[in-house]
Amino acid sequence: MLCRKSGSTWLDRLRAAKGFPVDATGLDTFLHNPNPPPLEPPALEPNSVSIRDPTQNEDKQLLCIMSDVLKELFNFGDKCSNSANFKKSARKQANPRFCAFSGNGSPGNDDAIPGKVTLLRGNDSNSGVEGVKELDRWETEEEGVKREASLVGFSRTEVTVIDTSYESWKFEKLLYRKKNVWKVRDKKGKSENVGSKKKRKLCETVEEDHRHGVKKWKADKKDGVGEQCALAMPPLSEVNYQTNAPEVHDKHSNKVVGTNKKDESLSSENGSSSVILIKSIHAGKKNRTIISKSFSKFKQKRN
Amino acid sequence: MAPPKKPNKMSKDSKKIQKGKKKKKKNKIKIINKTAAVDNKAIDSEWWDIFWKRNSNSDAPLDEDEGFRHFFRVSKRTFEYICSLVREDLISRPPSGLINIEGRLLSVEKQVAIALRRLASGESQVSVGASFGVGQSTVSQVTWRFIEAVEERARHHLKWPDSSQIGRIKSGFEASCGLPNCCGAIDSTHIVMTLPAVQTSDDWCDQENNYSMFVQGVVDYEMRFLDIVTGWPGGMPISRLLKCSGFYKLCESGARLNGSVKKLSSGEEVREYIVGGASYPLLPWLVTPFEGGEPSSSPEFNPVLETARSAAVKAFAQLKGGWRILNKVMWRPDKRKLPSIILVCCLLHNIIIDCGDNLDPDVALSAHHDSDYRGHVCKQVDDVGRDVRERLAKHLLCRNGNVLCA
Repeated sequence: MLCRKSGSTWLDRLRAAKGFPVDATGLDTFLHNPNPPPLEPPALEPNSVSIRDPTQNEDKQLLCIMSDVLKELFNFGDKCSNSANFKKSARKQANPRFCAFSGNGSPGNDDAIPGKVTLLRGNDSNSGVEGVKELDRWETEEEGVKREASLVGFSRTEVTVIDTSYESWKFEKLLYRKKNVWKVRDKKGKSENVGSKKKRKLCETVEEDHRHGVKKWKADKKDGVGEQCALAMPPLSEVNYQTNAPEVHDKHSNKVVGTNKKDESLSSENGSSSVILIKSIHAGKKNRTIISKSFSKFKQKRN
Repeated sequence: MAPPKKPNKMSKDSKKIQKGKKKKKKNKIKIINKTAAVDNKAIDSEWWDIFWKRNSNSDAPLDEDEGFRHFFRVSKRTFEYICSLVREDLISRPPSGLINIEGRLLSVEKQVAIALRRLASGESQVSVGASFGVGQSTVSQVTWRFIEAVEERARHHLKWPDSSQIGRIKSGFEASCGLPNCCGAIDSTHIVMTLPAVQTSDDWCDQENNYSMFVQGVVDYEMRFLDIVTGWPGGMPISRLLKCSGFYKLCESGARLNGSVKKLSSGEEVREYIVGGASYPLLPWLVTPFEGGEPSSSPEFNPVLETARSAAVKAFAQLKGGWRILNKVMWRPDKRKLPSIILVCCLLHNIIIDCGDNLDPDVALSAHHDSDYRGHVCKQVDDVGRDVRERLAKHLLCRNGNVLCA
């Protein structure tokens, strides 16, 4: 009952809007004496829905009319004359220009607006148009990066760089390229993933420096050269490594690279092996100094 | 007075007992460590014997020590040193320790050998694994673990020299080619790779239509790397690659190559600088040869500069020849990992020199390290750089004049 009540109000309104009889009996007579619907949908002339054809299947026609009406109702202002075209434009954009034309309803602006429209449509994941896809990629990947007008039309690549001149050798950068023009930008927003507190601290300081637009230089004032004389690192970020090392292309053995599952399972199976656990020492600054000391000892021995 | 002593005695006794217990515990740990060491040693000698038996029948030298260097590029002594560097990271611990086919834990030595063989030969993981009796995935894991460990623990083998070391380098260059106050030679090379279809991008495509990554290095007269930068796409112009490097930024800001000036035979002074090829820009701290129509006061300048620069050219030929993984077409590498592989090869190159092993000239590439690439001449010329070059040219002219006079 409730359904009927609530349904009747919007249905009544709909019927009234489209010129159908509001009461149920009126509808019945309308259904029993439908006019053949022409190719033109009733949307164009709402008052001319009285077109009926007794030879057609009644249910189908009702469905057709109702679906058209509903479509029209929920796509405000879009008055496509052809139902087939209407469907296409609503669901998938076959041609951005066409869509711009129909969407604005102002054919005169057709050439001026498509850019805007494609940008708007770029977020449509169903879009199959290449250009739109590229725009979509641009839209999503550029999040967090200021949309500089100078970078429009540039392709974008993330690069992991190792530079021994910096305090921390490894960092990530964004590389923009347009033919022979290369631009390098810092990769932002990765510092949160960095594990150790030390690294996080470093990131924070570096990021702060970048915020202020100042490059942090750390130079040994005494010597001017040497280990201390290295650039503070650009934003450090965690790198997600794959387990498989790259394979070198070999003419003689082109066997497919397998997975590491086998090894893992093997190792876990042999967990009861009689090898003694020795506490691991992590690669820290202390160890590095120990190593360098051991190297000097090694060198002395050799000499 | 006596009663209160009792508890003290008691406590002393109990402490003694506890100490004894502790000592016993310590002894136990010591014994355990000893057995662990013995275990490792027992495996150590075994892997080499087996490997040598398996692989000595091919092109390997007859002598065992020579054979060791042939397969791993390092002497046994340097090999031990590398093992000591990475031992803590690679030591196998159950249940996650790596094992070989027989189910025994892989010793650190065997892991280092596997990784070195993979980097040195550039052979597929499958064939490297077959030569050691391990699977492909073990080679993959071991190699990457080794790379990570060396990257972290061998940093002290690649750093910009301090003032005393740079003095030695300067005199080394002057002795070898006659250029005064020269601190290094710069060059760069492409590491070629294939990319999966989804990752193919023009950004990684270079002028020869290869997908490649750059590695740029500054070396001393002994072909030892002093500074490297890698990870940038191979399609980048070299002048751009230089500008992207921290080395450039340090030099431009005056934080590097800012040591003592040298008085030349002409009476003029010259600052610290490095030498580079024609593809590099002429800068106050980077001297390049005279090109084409540029007037030169000394016809001998270019050959002398080329001699100094050849240290870098040879270093890259040695690097790519010694660590063949860099000279082969890398099969779909993770572009985040590839810089680490390149870096570790440079570190190993330096370790060989630092440990007193001679770089084997036989393994170096016979051709140019970047033979597939045509060099482009950089037309960027800095006025101060031109002045520095002119002073050096005059110095060479004066020096030769003196020699002739003598």
